[in-house]
Amino acid sequence: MVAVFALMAMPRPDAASGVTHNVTMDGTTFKPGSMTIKLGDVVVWTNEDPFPHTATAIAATPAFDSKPLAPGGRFTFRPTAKGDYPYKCTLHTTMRGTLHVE
Amino acid sequence: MRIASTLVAAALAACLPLAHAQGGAPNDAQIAHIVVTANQVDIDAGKLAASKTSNADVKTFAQQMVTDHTGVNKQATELVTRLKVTPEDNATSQSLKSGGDANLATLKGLSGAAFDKAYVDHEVAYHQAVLDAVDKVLIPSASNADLKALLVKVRPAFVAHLEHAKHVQASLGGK
Repeated sequence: MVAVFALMAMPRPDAASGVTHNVTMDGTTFKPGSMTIKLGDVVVWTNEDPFPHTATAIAATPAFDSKPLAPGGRFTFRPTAKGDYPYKCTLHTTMRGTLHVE
Repeated sequence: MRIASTLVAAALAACLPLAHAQGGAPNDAQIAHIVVTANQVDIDAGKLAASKTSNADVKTFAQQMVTDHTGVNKQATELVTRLKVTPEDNATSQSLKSGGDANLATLKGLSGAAFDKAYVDHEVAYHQAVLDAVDKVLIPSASNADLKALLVKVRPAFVAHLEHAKHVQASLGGK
């Protein structure tokens, strides 16, 4: 029984492999702002604000770029390399987050 | 134009809190009206700017103001409908509306770089003034938890807008 509850508390496994982690775009803030995941995991951003946001890696060649997500919109990213991925909303540049992939 | 914009900013910053200081703290119905009016004023300016400017940065900013403030107003309208609150006109809303109308009248008489500068300078001052009112009057005065939560939720977007406006202002050779 304890094991069952422990499994229920864990993040939902992705259909393919790894774990799915959720980030909300809420109050022009990424929540959580910083997240550490394993290679093979998936991150899903969901826009819960009443206007568009993006989740865009800050790099000369961004590893991911959601483009503008309408309210309620979602974007999924599965990293293919370990490392730190700082990212921002290109529409609201005060809105920043970091993904640590290990 | 710099002097005129500064005067507009000073007048705007002054009128928002004072309008209510004279009549006491606004109630929730008045706050709802202020929120919708403040957003609509910026939507109207954004629509004019988006249609009139030929500067790509100004157009992008203006279009975002229309999109974001329309979204906020949609959420505010849904909230007051759910709460069965009828927005109530008040002195602060009237100040915002008359200030917005005066700004539109000024902008309609300008073109080119002068238009861009006047629009963006006003946007910097307007967002600063609205943030000031949100912090000093609207959030502290809101009694309904959902209304207060909405104000807290949208505040960071206004900060982002202010930073964006300042960035565009700098690119235009402003302050």
